[in-house]
Amino acid sequence: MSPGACERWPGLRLRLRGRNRDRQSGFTILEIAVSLTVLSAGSAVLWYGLRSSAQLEKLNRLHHAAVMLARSDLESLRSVPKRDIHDTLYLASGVSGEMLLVSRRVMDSARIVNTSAEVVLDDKLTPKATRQPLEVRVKVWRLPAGTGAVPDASALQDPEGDGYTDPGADDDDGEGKAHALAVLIVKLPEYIWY
Amino acid sequence: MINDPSTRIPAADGTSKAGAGIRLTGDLTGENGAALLTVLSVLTVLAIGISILVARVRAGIKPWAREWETTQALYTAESGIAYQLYLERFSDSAEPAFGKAAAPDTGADPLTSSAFPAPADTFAFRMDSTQPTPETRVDRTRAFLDITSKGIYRNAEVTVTARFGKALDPDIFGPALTLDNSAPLEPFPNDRVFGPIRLKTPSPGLPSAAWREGFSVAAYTAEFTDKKYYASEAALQKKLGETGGITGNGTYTPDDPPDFQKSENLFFPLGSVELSNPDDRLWVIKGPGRIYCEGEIRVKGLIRLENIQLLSGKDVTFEDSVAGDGISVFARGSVYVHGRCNLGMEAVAGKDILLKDKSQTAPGSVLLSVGNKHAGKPGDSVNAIRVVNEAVARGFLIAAGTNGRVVVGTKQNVVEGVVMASAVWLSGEVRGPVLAHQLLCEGTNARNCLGDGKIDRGALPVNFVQPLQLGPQDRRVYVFKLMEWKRT
Repeated sequence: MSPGACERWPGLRLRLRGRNRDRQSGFTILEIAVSLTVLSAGSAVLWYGLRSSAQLEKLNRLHHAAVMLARSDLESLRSVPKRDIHDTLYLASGVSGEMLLVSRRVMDSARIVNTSAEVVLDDKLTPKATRQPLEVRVKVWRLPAGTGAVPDASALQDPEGDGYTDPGADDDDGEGKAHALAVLIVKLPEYIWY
Repeated sequence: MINDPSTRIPAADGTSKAGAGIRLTGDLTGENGAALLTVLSVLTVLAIGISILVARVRAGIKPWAREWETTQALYTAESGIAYQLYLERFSDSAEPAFGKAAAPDTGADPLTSSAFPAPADTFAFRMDSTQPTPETRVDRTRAFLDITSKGIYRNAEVTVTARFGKALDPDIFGPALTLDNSAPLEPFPNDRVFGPIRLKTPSPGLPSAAWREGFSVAAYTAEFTDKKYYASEAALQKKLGETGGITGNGTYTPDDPPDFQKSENLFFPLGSVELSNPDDRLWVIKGPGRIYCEGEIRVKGLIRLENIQLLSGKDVTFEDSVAGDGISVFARGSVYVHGRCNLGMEAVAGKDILLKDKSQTAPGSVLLSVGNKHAGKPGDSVNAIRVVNEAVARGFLIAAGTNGRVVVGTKQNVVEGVVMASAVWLSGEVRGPVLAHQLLCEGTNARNCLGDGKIDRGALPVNFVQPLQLGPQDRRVYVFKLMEWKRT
């Protein structure tokens, strides 16, 4: 550095003189650099925290809405005759305008046995076996992004079917397979309420 | 600040360069290092703010997760009840497909096992489900079916207790009066019986529905009453014959209560038992708990019994404002209820059941007077259920046997439920059906007459429930009716 430079930039000179402090002392490049670095890193962490908490909050409300939807679907079946309870797939509004997909599967005995991979039984079930209480499984999914605001329910892809992947998979298990937001299962008892 | 000329860095040629923009000269005394401090302060404030935000969000996660787990645990428990009800109807030992009842083999897979075990009193099962199997227990010692099911899902545990009866059979209990009579019924005024009448022997001036072929009031009740009696008698005999009983008499007060926590069964092979509360403060005795004794059992004072069974070789007496629910009573002798008692109970008496002095039984109660069947004693001339002195009885009143009698003593006495007996003496009102072999209006068996009584079939509560074992035992046609539902 040429001596002239110090004359032209008095502040720089002051700092370069080391610990010679006087009324002209102020922020140094180093100080500002460190501050900016800390500010940037801190802001990044805080921003990430803020964003995560916002996402968590949204997911929280989604989960809550999903549990409520699943429960409401199951409770609505209590007064319905057994023969009128079927599989279904329908849309319901979640939070912040997001749509949720409710999938209900009704498992009778034959179906349950067929889906139990570890059990192999004769497919000729006795009439008694078919009188077992219906098991209803309700799963609530986040509607895949890009499906549109209110898509035709008939065109919806069954989340439990083959090839379904949830594009907005916050709950993705890391293997590309989406998880339902909420799952509730109940065997419907057959008795009269009053 | 950037565009402020005073902040511009002078260029080598003496002119200032706009855009360099950083004032390197410090003209503020004592601000050395303030930038870092300021940044750290700002970051600290922001971090605190965001920590609070994150904490709030995390706090929100727990409630929905808990709600989900608790809901699934509840549904699991309820599924256990659903499965148990299915087994009650279809998986009994009468079903050839299941073979004889057997103790559950916990090691075997019931789905793949060739011998699928039929239900014993309490048994384990594995549901054909993706759900975990709940822990389900059945209590068949009462007239109604009590099922307790515990569902567990992750960290949540829910226990549901449900009581079931079966829907009232309209073929049997549809008419207001079903009279299995051999002598004609004497005519009575129009305002005495509200509802259809069914008479076995046609009576002049009384329109009657057709009699059900082969139906007998005595036969309909006998299986139920006998089964209840012998089950209770066997339990009493077995317990009194065991070693480890308490010597002498049992006297319990609020200061010295029975300790059912230590032992659910207290038995006195030679003594009698008194539960007495001399105070004005209510004394609550909670079960499950059973007291067996050879002598008399007396419950007296401001006492509330919950889920308590009392079995006596002689009489059982409730007096002076005893209340309670889920009480089960067996007496080889009689059961006396007087002095404004209010009880939800199932009572089986070898001889009489007396309800008087403004005492009441709750809906769902069952009173059975079976006649003395004890082998060591001669038969009685009459066994009766007597409702007198402004008492009100609710539920089923069944006086079995050829000498069985139900007496509704005065106009102030009301029975809200079903009355079944060989002979019925009505001075009060029955709000429900009456099934009898004979109606008595005076102290003679010669006549068949209604007297001052009134029967109003339409006044029976719509949710009235029939004990499971009453009547023919074709479980496959049961329509279970929920009576109580408790979640803990």
